[in-house]
Amino acid sequence: MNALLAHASLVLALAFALALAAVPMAAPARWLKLARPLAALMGLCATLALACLAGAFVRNDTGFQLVALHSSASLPVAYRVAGAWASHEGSLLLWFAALALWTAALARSGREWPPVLLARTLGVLGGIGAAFALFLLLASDPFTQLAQPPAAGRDLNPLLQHPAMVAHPPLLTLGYAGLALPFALAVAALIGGEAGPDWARRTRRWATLAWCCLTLGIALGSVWAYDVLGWGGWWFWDPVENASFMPWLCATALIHSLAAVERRGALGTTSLLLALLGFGFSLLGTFLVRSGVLSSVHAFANDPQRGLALLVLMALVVGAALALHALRAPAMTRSAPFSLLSRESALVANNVLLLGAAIAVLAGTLCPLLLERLDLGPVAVGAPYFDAAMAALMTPMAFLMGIGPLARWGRAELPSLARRLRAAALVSVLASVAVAWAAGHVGWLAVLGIAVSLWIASTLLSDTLRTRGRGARAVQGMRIAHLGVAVFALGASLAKSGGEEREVAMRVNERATLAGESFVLRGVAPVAGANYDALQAVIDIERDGRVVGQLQPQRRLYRLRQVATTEAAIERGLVRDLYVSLGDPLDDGRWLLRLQVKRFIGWIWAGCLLMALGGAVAASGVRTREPQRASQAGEARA
Amino acid sequence: MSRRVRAAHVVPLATFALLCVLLGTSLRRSPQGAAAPEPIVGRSAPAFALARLHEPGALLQGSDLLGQVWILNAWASWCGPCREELPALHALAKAGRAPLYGLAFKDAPQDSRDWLARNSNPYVQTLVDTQGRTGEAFGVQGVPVTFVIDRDGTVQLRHDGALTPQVLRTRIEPLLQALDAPAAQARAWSALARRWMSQGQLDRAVDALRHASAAQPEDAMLLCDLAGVLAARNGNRLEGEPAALVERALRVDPDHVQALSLAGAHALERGDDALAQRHWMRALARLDANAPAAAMLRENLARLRGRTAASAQAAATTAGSPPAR
Amino acid sequence: MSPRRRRLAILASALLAGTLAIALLLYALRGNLVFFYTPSQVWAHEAPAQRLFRMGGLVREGSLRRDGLQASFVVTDGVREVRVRHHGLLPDLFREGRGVVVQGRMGDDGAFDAHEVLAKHDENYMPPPAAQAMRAGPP
Repeated sequence: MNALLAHASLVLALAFALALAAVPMAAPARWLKLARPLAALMGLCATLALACLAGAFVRNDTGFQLVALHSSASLPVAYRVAGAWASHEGSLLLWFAALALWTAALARSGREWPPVLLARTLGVLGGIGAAFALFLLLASDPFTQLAQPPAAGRDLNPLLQHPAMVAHPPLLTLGYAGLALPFALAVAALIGGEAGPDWARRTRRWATLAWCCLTLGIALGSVWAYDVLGWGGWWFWDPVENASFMPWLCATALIHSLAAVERRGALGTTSLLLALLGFGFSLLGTFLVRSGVLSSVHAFANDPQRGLALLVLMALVVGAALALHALRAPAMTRSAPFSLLSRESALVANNVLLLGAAIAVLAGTLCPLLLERLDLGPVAVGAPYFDAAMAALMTPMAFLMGIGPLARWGRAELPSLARRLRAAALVSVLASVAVAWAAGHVGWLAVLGIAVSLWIASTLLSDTLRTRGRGARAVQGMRIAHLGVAVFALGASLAKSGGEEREVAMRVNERATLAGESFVLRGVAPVAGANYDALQAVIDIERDGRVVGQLQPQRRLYRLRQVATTEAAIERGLVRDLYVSLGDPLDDGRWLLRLQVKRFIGWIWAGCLLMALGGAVAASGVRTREPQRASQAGEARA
Repeated sequence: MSRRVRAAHVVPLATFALLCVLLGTSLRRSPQGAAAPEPIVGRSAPAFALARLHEPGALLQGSDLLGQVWILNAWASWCGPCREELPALHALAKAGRAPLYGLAFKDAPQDSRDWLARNSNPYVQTLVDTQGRTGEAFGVQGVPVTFVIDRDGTVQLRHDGALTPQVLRTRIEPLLQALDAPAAQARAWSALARRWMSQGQLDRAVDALRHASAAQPEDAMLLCDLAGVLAARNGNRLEGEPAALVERALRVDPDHVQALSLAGAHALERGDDALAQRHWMRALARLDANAPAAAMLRENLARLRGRTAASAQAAATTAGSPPAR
Repeated sequence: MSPRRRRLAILASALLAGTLAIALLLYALRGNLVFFYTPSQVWAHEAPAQRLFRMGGLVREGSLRRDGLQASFVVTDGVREVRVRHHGLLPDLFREGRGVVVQGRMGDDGAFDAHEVLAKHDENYMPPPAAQAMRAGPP
C-alpha cells in the first residue's frame, strides 16, 4: 500500500513535470497560466514521494529494499531519516524533490512576472524534473520491494551516523538543485532575447539562496570529515568534495556578476554563461559521484549504466543551453562602456579568478581520468597542487574584495580610491608583520592568511564607517558575507600552519604533553551504545595540576554491520581544539593514541556560517514586487 | 535577431563537448580498483537475496544457509565447460555431504531453465543472478566456479574451471571431511554464534553455541560463551543452566580465567562476596598485570572490597549486630 | 586608444595571462602526480627512487609487527612482496589479509617508508567483537 502510494506520487510528479515542460510551447496564450498550478502540483507529488520513503525508514518497514539495506530497528530515529538518502536511489529522489520544491517556490513568487518569462522558466525546470523523475522510475527505483522482508535491516553505514550527516545531504542537494533556477531563468532569457536589470534582479534572489544552501552543505560536510574520519583534517580535495566546490565557485561568480547586470546592465552575457555553467557543474558533480568514473571514499555504488544515463542527461541539457547561448548571446544588449579602473572591471577580474579556480579544480579532479585514458597508469593528484592553485588565485581575489566595493561604477578615480584604501592597507601589513614577529616561527601561509583576512576586514570596516553602517540589504549582506570570508581565511590558514600532532603509546595513569597541554590516560573500558559496542578511553586534561576537562575517544564496533570505526574525542575551544583518537592496544598493555592540538578550526565554520548569513540577508533584500513600467514593457516585448 | 556567432562564445560549448567525450569514454571501462583483486577464500561469503529459478517470487538469502556446510556452483547456459562438469556435480550431489546450490550467472532465467531441462539438474536450488552482481561479489568473472562455504558463512574453497572426479577426490572431499571434524565444527558454530549475537538474535546464538559445545564438550571457553549468552537472554542472571555450565567449565579447567570470572559473578549474584573474591583473585593470578581484563577484575575487586568495608562499617555502627553473611 | 585597439589590447593581455596561468597550472599538476605501482613493479625497480608514490596490494597474513608506535608489514600482489614501515596509528580498516594502498617513498634498505596508509572499505569484514575484552590474552 505504501509502495503503491509512493510509486503513484512519483509517476504523478513525472506527469506534471512533463505537462509543465510542454506549457510554454502551447499555442493559446491563456494556457501559460497553467504553469503555476502545474509547478505546485509537481512539488507536492515529489515531496509526497520523498515523505513516503522517509516514513518507511522511520517505521523500519523492511519491505522496502532501501530500508533493509540502510536502516535497522536499533538505529536512532534521526539517523533513520538520514538513511533515506544514504543510498544512490534515495539521494536522487531527494534531488528531484528539492528541484520540485524550488520550482514550486519560484512559481509562487513569480505571480507578477511576465507570463511568458515565467512559463518558459518553469517549463525548463519541468523538463529537467521530468528527466530526473524518468531516470528514477526506470533506472533507480527507490521503492523496490522485497518479497520476503528480512527481520532486521542491515543498519546505516556507521560513518554516516553523525548529526552533521543528517543535514548535509539535504542542504547540499538544495544547493545543487537550486542552481537549476538561475539556469532556467538564463535559458528563458536567451529564448526571449533580453537579459536586463529586471532579469538580473529575479535571478539574483534565487542564485543567492541556492548559494547559501550550498555553502552550508559544504561546511557541514567538512564538519563531518573533521569529527568522524579521525585524522583531524577538514578538507581533502577528494573528488566528491571537489564536485561540490566547483558549483560553489561558479555560483559565487554568478551572484557577483548579477550585481553588475542589475545596477549597470553590464556583464550580461557573462552572467548568462555563469548561470548555465553553475548548473552544469552541479550536474557534473552528481554524475561524478555516482558513475564510478573516479574512485573516492564518499562515492555511491559504481554503476556505469546509471553513469551513462546521467552523462547523457547532462550532455543534452547543458549542451543545448550552451548552444543556445552561443547562438543568441552575441546579439543581446550591450551595456555602457566602463573604464579599466571601475567596479565592473573588478567584477570581471573576480569572475575570471573564480572561474579559473573552478577550472583548476576540475583539471586536478579529472587529470587521473585523462592520464588513464592515455595508459599512464593509475594516478592520484596530490593535495599540494590544489592548495597552491587556490592560494595563487584566492590572494588576488582577496585583494579585489577590498577594492571592489569601494570602487565606483563606470569609472573609479585612482586617487580617491587609494585614499580610501591606504588606512586599511597600512593596518593589514603592520598587523601581519607584528603577529609574525610575536608568534615566532610562523609559516608563510599563516602570514598570508592573516594579511588577507585583515585586509578584507579593514577595508570592510573603512567602508562601513564611511557610510555610517547604512546601505541596502544587498550591501549589508555583502559586508557580512565578506566578513565571513575574512574569518574563514584566517581560520583556514592558521589551522593549516599551526597545528601539532603526536602519536604515543601510553599506559593507564601515564601522562603525555603536547603544546603545553597535559593528557593523562585514566583507563580503557567497554561501553555499549544503541547499535554499537565500544572500547572507550578516559583521558583527563590537566593544567597546573588540576583536571580541567575530560575526553572520551572510542573504538566502536557496530553490531549489525560488524564494522569498526574510530570516534575521536574533541574538546572545542575558541582558538584551539584538543583532538584525541584511540588506536590499537599493544601486547604490553599500552594503548596507542593520537593527540592533536588544532588551532582556529572553529573559525573555518564560523566563516562559512557568516557567508551563508550574508547571502540570506542579501537575498531577502531583493525587491519582489515588480515595478509597473518594467512588467508592461516586458509583456510588450514577449 | 542577428545570426552572428562570435568565436569566443563557442569556446564554452566546445570545451563542454570535449569533457563529455572524455567522461563517456571513461565509463565504458569497468570500474577500477587500485589494489590486486582479493581472494574470497577465508572471508565471509557476500550477503545476497536472489530469486529461485524454479519458484519465481520466492527468494533465497545467504543468511538462510548459515548453520550448514554448502556448495555453490556458478554456471551459465552459454558456458561450454559447464556441461562437461555435470557428471562430477551429480556425484557431488549424490554423496550428500553438503547440499549443492547453483548460481545462474549473467544468464536469462528462461535460458537457464531450458538448459537444466535439457541437461539434468544436479542442484537442490538454482539462484537467478541475471546481472551477475552476486557472482561478482563472490569474485566470479568467468564460469564455471565452485565454492565451498562453511557453517558460519566463511568461504573455505574456490575452484575455477570445470570440476573433475580428481578435483573432487583431492580437494573437495577432504575439505568437507575436515569441516565436519569436531574442532572445525566447534569453531564454525562459535563464529556463527558471534554473528547472531551481534545481530541481537540470542536464540539462534544459543542454538549455535549448543552445537559448538556438542562438538567439543571438553572446551571450557565454549561452555563459558554459552553460559554468557544464556545469562544475557535471561536478564543477565547466571542462576540455573548458566551456573551449571560454568561449573562444568571449571571442572575441565580449574584455572580458566573466563570461567573464574563468571563463577565470581555468579557468587556475587547469590550474595557470596567472599567466594566471588576468591574466584576473581584466582583469575587475576593467571593474568598479566597489564592486560585490559586484569584492569577490569581489579576494578571489580576494589568495588567489592569497598562494599564489604562499607557494610562492615554500617554493621559496626548499628547496635552491634553481626554482618549478614 | 580607440575602442578597437583597446579591445585588442585586452584580448592580447587576456591570452597572455591565460597561457601563463595554464602553464603554471600544468607545472603544479605535474609536480604533484602520485603514481601507483604494484609490488612486482617496485621489486623490478620500476618505481621512482626519490619521489613519492603509491603501492597497493594485500597485507600478507602474519606479517604485521609492532614495536610501540613503529609498525611494519608486508604488501604482496601474489607474485612479489615488499616490506612497509609506518609510524603511528593504522586506520580502522587495516587488517592482515585485506587490500591496502600505501603512499610514501622507498627507503635505502629496500623497505617502503609509508607516510599514509589507505585501507579499503569492505562491508563483509567481521572483526572480533570489542566486548571480548574479558578474554585473557590475544584471541
